[in-house]
Amino acid sequence: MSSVRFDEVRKVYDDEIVAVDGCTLDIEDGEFVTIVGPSGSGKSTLLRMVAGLEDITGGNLHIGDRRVNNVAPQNRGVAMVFQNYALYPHMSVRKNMSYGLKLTTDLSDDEIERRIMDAAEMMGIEDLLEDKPSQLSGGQQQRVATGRAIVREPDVFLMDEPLSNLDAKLRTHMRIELQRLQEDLETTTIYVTHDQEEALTMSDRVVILNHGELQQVGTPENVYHEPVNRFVADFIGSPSMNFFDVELHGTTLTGGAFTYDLPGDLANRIQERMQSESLVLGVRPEHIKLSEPGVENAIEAEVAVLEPVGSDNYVYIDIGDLECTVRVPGDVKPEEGSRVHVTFDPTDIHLFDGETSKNIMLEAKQVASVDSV
Amino acid sequence: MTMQGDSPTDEGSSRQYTDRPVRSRLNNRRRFLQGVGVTGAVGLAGCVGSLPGFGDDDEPEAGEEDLEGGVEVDEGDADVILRLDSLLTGGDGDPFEAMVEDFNAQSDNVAVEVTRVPWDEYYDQLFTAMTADEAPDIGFSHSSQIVPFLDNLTPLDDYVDYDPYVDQIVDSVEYEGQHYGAPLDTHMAAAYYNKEIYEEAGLDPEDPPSNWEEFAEANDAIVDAGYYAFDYGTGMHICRSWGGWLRSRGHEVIEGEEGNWEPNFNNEDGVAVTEPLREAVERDWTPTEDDNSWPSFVEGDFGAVVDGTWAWSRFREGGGEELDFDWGTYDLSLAPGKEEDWTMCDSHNLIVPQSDHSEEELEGIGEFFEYMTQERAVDWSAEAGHLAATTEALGSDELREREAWDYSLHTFQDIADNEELYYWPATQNTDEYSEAIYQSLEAVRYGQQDAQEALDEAEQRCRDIFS
Amino acid sequence: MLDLIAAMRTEGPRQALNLWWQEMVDEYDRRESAEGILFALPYLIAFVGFMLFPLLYGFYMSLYDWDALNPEQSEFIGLGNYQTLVNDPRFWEALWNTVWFVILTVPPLVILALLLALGVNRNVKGQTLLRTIFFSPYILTVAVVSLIWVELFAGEGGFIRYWLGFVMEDPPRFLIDPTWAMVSIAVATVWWSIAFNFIILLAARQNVPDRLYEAAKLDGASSYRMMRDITIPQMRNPLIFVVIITFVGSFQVFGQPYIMTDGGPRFSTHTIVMYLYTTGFAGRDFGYAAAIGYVLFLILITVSVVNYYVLSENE
Repeated sequence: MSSVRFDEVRKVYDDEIVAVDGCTLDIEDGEFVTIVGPSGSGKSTLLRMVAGLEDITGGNLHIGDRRVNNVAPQNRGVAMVFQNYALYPHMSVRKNMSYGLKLTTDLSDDEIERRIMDAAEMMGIEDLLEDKPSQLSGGQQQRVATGRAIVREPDVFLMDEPLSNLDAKLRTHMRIELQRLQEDLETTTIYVTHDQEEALTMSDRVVILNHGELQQVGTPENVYHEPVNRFVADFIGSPSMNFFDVELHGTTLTGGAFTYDLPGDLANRIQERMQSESLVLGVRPEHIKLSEPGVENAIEAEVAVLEPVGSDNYVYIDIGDLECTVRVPGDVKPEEGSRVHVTFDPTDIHLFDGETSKNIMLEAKQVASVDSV
Repeated sequence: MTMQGDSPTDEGSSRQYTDRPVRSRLNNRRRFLQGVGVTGAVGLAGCVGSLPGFGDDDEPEAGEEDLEGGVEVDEGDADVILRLDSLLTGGDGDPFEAMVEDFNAQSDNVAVEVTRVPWDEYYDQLFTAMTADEAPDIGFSHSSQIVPFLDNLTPLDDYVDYDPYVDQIVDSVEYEGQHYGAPLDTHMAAAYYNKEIYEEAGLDPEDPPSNWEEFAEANDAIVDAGYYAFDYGTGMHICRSWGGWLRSRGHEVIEGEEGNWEPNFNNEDGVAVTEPLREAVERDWTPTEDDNSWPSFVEGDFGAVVDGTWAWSRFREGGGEELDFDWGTYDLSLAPGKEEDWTMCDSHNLIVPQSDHSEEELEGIGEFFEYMTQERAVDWSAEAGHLAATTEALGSDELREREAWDYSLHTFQDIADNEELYYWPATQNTDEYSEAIYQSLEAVRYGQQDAQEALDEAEQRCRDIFS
Repeated sequence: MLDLIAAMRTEGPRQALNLWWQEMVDEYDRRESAEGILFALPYLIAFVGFMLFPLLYGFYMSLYDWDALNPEQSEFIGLGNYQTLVNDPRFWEALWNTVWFVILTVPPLVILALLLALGVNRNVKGQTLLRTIFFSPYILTVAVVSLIWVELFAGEGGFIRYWLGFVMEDPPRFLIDPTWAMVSIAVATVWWSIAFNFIILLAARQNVPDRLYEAAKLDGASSYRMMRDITIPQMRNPLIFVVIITFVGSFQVFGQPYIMTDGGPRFSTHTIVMYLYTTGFAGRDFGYAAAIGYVLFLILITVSVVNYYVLSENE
């Protein structure tokens, strides 16, 4: 078990393409951290630098107390589960699992066998040990790949989108299994995914990456409720947050086809912090409610599409020219084409600076909560 | 890139008769290659690749431009139109075809159409055509190559008058009392010598050697003058002098008849005529390998080399440019301790490779054969450089007045007059047994085996082939 | 087969073989329909006409003292030609020469091609250039290649002998020395035809997924172990293909000795296909030539099957 510490870690390809730009991050011993971000955000590069598959251009990387920048992969105490599993096609499952142990340890054959059986039991693949990878289903291959990492008894598990090749149902199932496994083994785990839902459900902390830069590090609740900028707000949550360009006049936010009155003190604090005239208002679909006309701050809209997704319905509405998604309980079914009114609570809104994209509201609210203490 | 062939446009005609021209012909570019190294060699590939006639076969002689020729005949030009596949290309192809045109012009009802076939593929192609019943009406065969075809040739005795031909020549196409070809000529190997070098070496250029002692003396003198003296060649070229020499000491190379041939060269006389092959290298008459025979002769590096009558047509075609020095020929019958004079030769014969011709066609063929081989014998000899096959032509003053006479024909005339014509025994496996012999003779030349060992080995191989 | 080779270049050998096999299976499934047979007909006709018929007819010929000009006069002699063959010193000599050539050429053609492919694969930047350089000899015809090497090996002033002269006394006269002639031909052959194997093996190497090497790196495999445990096993099928193709090609050598040495010196480079050709076209003994061809055919089948089983043993 080990902590992992990134200190201003940089990765630059060919002297010009910056893949990871000065990443500083502490991962605690036993923690399950997910790195999430869109394609090209540098999340896999970050993971591969931990594995030792990519050189580190600048900064320091520590695993435990050891600086590992120049340590060979097999000596870092890490084991990795690859996106495509990377099982050795010509070796049996047993050989796949024992290969690393035979090369890197001087364990006796009995000891290796014992470890393999333990891992196989853990992953439920005892009956597959003599099979070749090509004889296995995707889910079984995933289990073998995980088992191959487990037998190494590493300090850190590295998982590079390990579930992305599975179908949705299996993916959900394996997600739970991996979480349980991690809880049992208490091994520090760095998990890379592009799927924000995986990130939110599995991890102790989520690291959100974009263009090689850390955007936010926090618990799932934290990044969901308190996104530090528009990127995080947009990336986390499904369906995505609604955004409207607005301006603040007095205490009133003015969008294209609607106005919204803010509580006076909040408006003041925002005024103090905004750096440009333009703001972006963000509201999550689940925070918008259908309401009666005449209610304070009610906004009129037209229902464009109603999309049932089981327990909930997604209502796509047009506010003037602006499109907006609303998440309502499954029994609420406004008719398509009908006029409705929507409202949302000032505590649920986010305001992003038009230029810096920073969440002004977050700071304003924090100040507010301090004030109210 | 053009390269001088060191072989004739047709001689010997089967590839074994050309003794790996590839190895010898590249000589002139070699010094250049040393300079530019391997990359240069690879770059040269482009040039080599554009050599004419470089298809599947290895003999670059039969270049494509050599195949531009032939005689076309329009349907309706004559009652009887005969198709002839010719192996004569280049130097002797043109005069041959000119004679065919003349024949077509003077004949009332017969016309002959000529198609050129690369001579190095000629017999394979003729044979293949015959198996497919697609043979031409008229074909060519060397006397040495005729045996495998005999069963499928039309005997010509009823259509061609055989009296005018020289006996020795016409005997080479006679099997079991019947004649299977009309001999166009006879052509033999001779020593081609550079008179200027002779003079420089203090020899009389008009009195070339006529026996081994004179020959050896002359060669040593030429070496002393700073030239290579004489090259036997390799491959079949070796047999051209060696075979005649063996005969001069009383032995045919093989004896017997089809189905029962016996090698007849592994004896004292065989050894005596084989040893000189090595001697030529040891006495510096020639380099170990034959890199420098004809091309080097052309370049003026050699006193003399073995070549055939075809050299004349090449000389004539090139307007004298190829050999831009005074040259002559002398008889190769130079065997040490020779008992008689014999010189190896071969003939071009016109043959009829299928048997279902009408009487009218056969008479037309006969008319054509007599015209080509008898009426025009002098022209053929003078233009192509081969020796005419008829007694009349050989004795004619007309021939003596032609340009070729002084250069080479007179030598050949003497050979014929002396009845020295030695035809290499033709068998079902001529190429195979010839190769068995010359590969061993080469080993002697290269100093890898002594004469006796080499002849033992060659004899054993010949027995294997004939068994 | 050409499609297969073309696909090997584009898809990589493994993938190509899979696709090819899949096509065969699909073809079989489609066989039921009349249209299917119609589509296959042109190929079938070509196959029967140019492959199957000659194959069977060749065997038929080999049982006769075949008279090509008058086939009806051919005499049936059963296995007579084969019996003669067994006692024919020229046949055994040619066979041994051929085997010697195979021994001289197959290992370098496979091992060197493999090393070249692995080496070029490493050097990502110069890859295209190196690939072009290594491949270029292959586009030359056998005649051109032979001429180049005749030139290089020539005895009087030949390039190689000339330079060897600086480091040794009296270097061998390569093409007229019975010891060296076949070696010289082998060198020319390797230079010429290594490119084909090289390209196939390079494609095969590039077809091995990088992630396997990453996994192996984390498993602590050295370069040698990666080569042994990943590269070679992953390239097994193309390797088998290359080995078999190379054996077959080398056993059938003809053009190089035919042009470079004409079978000499003293028949030391007279190969089995040259003997077949001489027997058929110079000796006009087509029955015997067919028998030689059949024996060669059997040798090639045997060698291929043995190769296949030996090499795929661990699979």
